[in-house]
Amino acid sequence: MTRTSPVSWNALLAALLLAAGIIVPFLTQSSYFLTIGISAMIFTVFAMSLNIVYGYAGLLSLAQVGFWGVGSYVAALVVTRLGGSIWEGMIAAALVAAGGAILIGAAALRLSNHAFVIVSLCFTLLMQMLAQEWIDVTNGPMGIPGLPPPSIGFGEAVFSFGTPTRFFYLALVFATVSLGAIWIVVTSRVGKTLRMIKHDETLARSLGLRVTIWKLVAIALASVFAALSGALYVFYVTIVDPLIFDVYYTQVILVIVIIGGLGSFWPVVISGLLITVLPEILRTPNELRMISYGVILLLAVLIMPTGIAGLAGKMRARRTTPATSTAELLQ
Amino acid sequence: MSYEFLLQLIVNGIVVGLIYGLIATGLALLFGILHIVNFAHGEMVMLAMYAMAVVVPLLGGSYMASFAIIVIAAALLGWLVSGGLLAALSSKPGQMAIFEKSLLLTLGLSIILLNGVQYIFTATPMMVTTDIPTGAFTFGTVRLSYGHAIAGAIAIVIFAGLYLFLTRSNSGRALRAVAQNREAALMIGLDPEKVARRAITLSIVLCAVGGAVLIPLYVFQPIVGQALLLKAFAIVIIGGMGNVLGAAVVALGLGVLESVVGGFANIVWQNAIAFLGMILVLLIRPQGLFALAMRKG
Repeated sequence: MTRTSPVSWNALLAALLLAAGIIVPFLTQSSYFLTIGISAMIFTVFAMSLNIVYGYAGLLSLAQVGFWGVGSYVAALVVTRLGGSIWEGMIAAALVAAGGAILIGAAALRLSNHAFVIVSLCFTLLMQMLAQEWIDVTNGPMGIPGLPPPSIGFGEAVFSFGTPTRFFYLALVFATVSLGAIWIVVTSRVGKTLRMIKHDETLARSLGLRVTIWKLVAIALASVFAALSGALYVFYVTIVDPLIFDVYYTQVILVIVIIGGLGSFWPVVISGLLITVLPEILRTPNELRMISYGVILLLAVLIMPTGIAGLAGKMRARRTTPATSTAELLQ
Repeated sequence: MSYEFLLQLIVNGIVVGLIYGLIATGLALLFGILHIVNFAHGEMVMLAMYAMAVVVPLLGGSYMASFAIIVIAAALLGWLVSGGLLAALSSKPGQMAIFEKSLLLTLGLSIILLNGVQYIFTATPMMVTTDIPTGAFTFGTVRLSYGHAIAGAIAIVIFAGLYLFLTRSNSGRALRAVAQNREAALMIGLDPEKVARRAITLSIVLCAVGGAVLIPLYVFQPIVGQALLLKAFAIVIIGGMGNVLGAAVVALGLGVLESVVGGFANIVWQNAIAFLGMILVLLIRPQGLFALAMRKG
């Protein structure tokens, strides 16, 4: 395998995507296109949070939507009930999500990874019921409408992210910082350790790794990014209601991660950006759109379970195969 | 007053628990025998309810006739789809494990079913009028509506049948054998595919029965399956994953507990019990209340 220093390729890709992001608002003022861009960036971070726990650590978590919803409710409540800023709301959202994630993970992992999947799904379903029925706090099915746009105050001057263009740049900063942070984590020793646990848990254990603690780290980290992206998302759509826990979101991020390739970074970013734009092109009634996502999920699992990353790997392998066979001939 | 109220809640809870049992045992059966998780289980129950909603008016409201048709249709359908399902699930080494694959595939399926039904029938709450009279048996001050009585009676008959099937018949014993020890079951010549198809069919039939008995009791929407799935999963974990008898016992307990709590406290608590119970069991006795031995994996 001859690869020219991978670091520079990564830097180049990152720079290209960032530059493309910066240019977009100059190309179009249409709030429709900017909205698509904003949700594409937020959902890519959200999907990447699933990739941390599922792709890298090998723990299929259906709680990501639960944390995303909890994060958005916590942030909304901090702003509307406690009079905090959205930034304080996001910090609170991250803390609550991490705490909840560790609690649930610690309980579920006592049995098995299988139990974790089931508990994680039940968590999301329960949170949705709470949002609907705990009316004193969540305002029930009506949700909490009229969330103010995020703003930064410099003394007297207040800068509000109330226009689509400004929110687009806010989302761009959020996506860049979050994906950058996730990149650092997954390429560090933490990421390598998680991948090792995924591939051979027994081996990892025998080498003295505290496997459960590492899994909890992945679960907590993933929940934080899910909660943050959820919080930012509801301040963009300006309302949070129980639909934030919809299985639709689970499906979207699963499709993104599986089509991208479990445990890969750039392919998941690319598929995240592409797949969130897709439903806008397929302008169909809601139910049919959901059905098409369901079909895509089925096909992805059946036909290309390793995703874009797997296909790319296969192509690279095919390209290198003739080289090895000539080498064999020479021998 | 309070005592009689409690008694009434317990009676209602037993019926709800029996229905939970029908749904949860199907899930436990699949997990125990095939090591697969079915996220579309709730949607299958929901599908049976909508099928009833279509069939009952066609048969002039006759509940028992519709019930029989739905259950037979479910059995046929189950047997037909089980082959394809198994083919889809079979995974080569190096690919996704069967557990993970089953989970993702059934998740996709559940979304397709949920939105398909929502597209056809809309999300408007449905009510089916059947020929079951609206009265109730009264025992002192405790009332048991005819709908509840029929649901409870059907569930008890099904459980008795299931128990006899699993313990007395050869095909039922084969199912248990595979659940207990797959390799040994292969060695004595059991056909794993046949056993698997039987388990899937049985599970789908249990879904159909569960859906059909809910019809006279509740007004329902397409999302009903999701709430049922949460309960069924919690029951399966509490009872010990794959333990059918454990699931049935826990289901009964959960039904009664929910009913009693719902009578005295906020509805929020009623729905949280299943989840809290599951977390509590995982912390104290992770293998489940009725597991004989710890099974890791």
